Amino acid sequence: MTYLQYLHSIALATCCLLVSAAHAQQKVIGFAVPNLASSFWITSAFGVDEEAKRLGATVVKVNAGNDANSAQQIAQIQDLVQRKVDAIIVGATNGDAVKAAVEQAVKSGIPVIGLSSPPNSSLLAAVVSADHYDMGRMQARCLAKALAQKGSVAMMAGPSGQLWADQRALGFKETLSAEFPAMKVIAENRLGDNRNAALNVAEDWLQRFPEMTGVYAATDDMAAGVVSALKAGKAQGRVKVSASNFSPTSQQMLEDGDLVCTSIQQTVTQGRVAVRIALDAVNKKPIPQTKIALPALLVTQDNLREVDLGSVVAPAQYRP
Amino acid sequence: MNTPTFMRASLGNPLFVIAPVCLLLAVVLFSALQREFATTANLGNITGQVSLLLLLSAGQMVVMVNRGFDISVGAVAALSSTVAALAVNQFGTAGLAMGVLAGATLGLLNGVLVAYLGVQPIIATLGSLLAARALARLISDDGQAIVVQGNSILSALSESSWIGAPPLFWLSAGSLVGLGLVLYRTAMGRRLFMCGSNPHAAALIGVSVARSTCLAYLLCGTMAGLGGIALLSRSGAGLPTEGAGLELQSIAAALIGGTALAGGSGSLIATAAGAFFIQTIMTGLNLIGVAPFIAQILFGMLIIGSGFLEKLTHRFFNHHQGLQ
Repeated sequence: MTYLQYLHSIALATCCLLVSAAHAQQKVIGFAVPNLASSFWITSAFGVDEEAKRLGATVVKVNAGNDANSAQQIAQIQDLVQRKVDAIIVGATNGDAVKAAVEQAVKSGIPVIGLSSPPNSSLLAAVVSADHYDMGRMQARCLAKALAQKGSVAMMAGPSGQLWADQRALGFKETLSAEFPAMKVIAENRLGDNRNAALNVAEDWLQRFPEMTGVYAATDDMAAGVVSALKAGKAQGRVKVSASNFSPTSQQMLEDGDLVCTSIQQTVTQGRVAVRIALDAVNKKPIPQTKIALPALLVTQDNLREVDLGSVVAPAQYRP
Repeated sequence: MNTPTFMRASLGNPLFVIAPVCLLLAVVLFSALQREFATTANLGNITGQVSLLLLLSAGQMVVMVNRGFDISVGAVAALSSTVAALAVNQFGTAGLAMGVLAGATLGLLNGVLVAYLGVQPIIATLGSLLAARALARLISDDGQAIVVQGNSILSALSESSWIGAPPLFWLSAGSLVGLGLVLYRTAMGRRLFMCGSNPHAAALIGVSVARSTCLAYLLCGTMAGLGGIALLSRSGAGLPTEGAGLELQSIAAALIGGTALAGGSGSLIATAAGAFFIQTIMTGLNLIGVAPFIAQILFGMLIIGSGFLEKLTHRFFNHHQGLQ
């Protein structure tokens, strides 16, 4: 009887230990997202979810709803701190605006990892993003190839004051002037930052620059606007378009030959890497590299079928 | 069937009870669901978060009492946070007054448009919404956040704690008390209710309806200006593009707080409870960690539900009053 009781208590204790160990293992990662209606953030949320599932962590996502909802995101980061999550991954609505909230989180002992648009703070455990400069450089090389290394190019450079847009444009321009001196940039527009606005700007360009043979587009959405303008202006084929980012839109444009190429970032992988670093930070493991810029990929009509899109797009049925 | 005088004094209108009751229910529910909810730390958290909405909904209530709407409050708060940030960087903490002044100016503009030029409230405030947004972008290098450098007072407002809540909350609450004194303790304030309740009758006894209407928008703009200071204090930066959706939240808070869409009736305390209710729901859902879209659907349903409740209660009490 005593023996049995002894066994029983051992079993019970082991059980308790296992349960508490499992409980201790189950880390909770907060993920503050600026806008879960944008395909970019849905895709990175997929990467975060998948990697967390693989490593046995739980993800709590909060969505500010819009890049201009910083007050909302500040409150959400504070709520994650209240909830005592183990680490927070932040894609900032505005890097300056959420700085104070993020630093409060760090001071309360929660490591914060910046993802793609990082909070503007020096207290981050790490920043994971794409190599936007490289994306611009890839566009320059592929557009140069399509135009036989000469001609006049206009730039739909993307919204002003956004680091990603600035970096892509810089990579494009510097590569052109360094490697293809016979190509020149005839216009750079920062207002055409969505499909419709880009359409209007490109129509104006067609009127103003008959010599234009190429267009750089900072995103595939803007490229779609440019392509519509070219179709309407019967300039398709005469003017080549390159883009960045990957979506069903750019996939279709590549298949139809409307785009010469698109340089893309490994958005899913960014989410995965952020989770891995978050868990390393929680477990007090050293983080050898605190600024991680994942290399870009170039997709053209030829390699469209071969590129491994697992690191780039979320499956269509994924819901954040 | 007469309501006892003391009840009339404290509650005024049965609709004003809805928001406090909803708030209580939400607190009980979330406390049961998540142990981090009912903590003093979270009280400090929610009171800090609610400060902005508190100011905006109080102002919104004033114009709604006056049979109007102000959909520019979010944009005005964003503009005034930007103005205040620029002014603080230039003149130090005293520059905050410039932010409030910017809010008051836009409120006055709305007031003149609606009261003296007869523009519909939604048109007038839509116009100033766009103008405020554009102005904020114009003075901020196309929408860049204006970071306030090394102002310890401003950050202490939202980061330190006085009796369980950040100073910012007490300042907001103080502003509400000030607004309450104007509304309930001055002839000016009483006239405002009178004009909202029956402008024709008010005009007949010699009250200037236009002046009251103008005052309502001025007060609302000033509260939005103070809201801009709250925004600035919490983010440490002037945010020119911020605040879309805040106007709707402030209207929702006032509605849940029992403010009559037909004008003439509104309670600051109930509206404040409405704002607290909305913030509690948002924070509570974040603490539980439901999927973000589910949280938004729930929130939408709550707004519709509260509108429906308002209608039902209205009908119920009107019916009973009819029996008197």
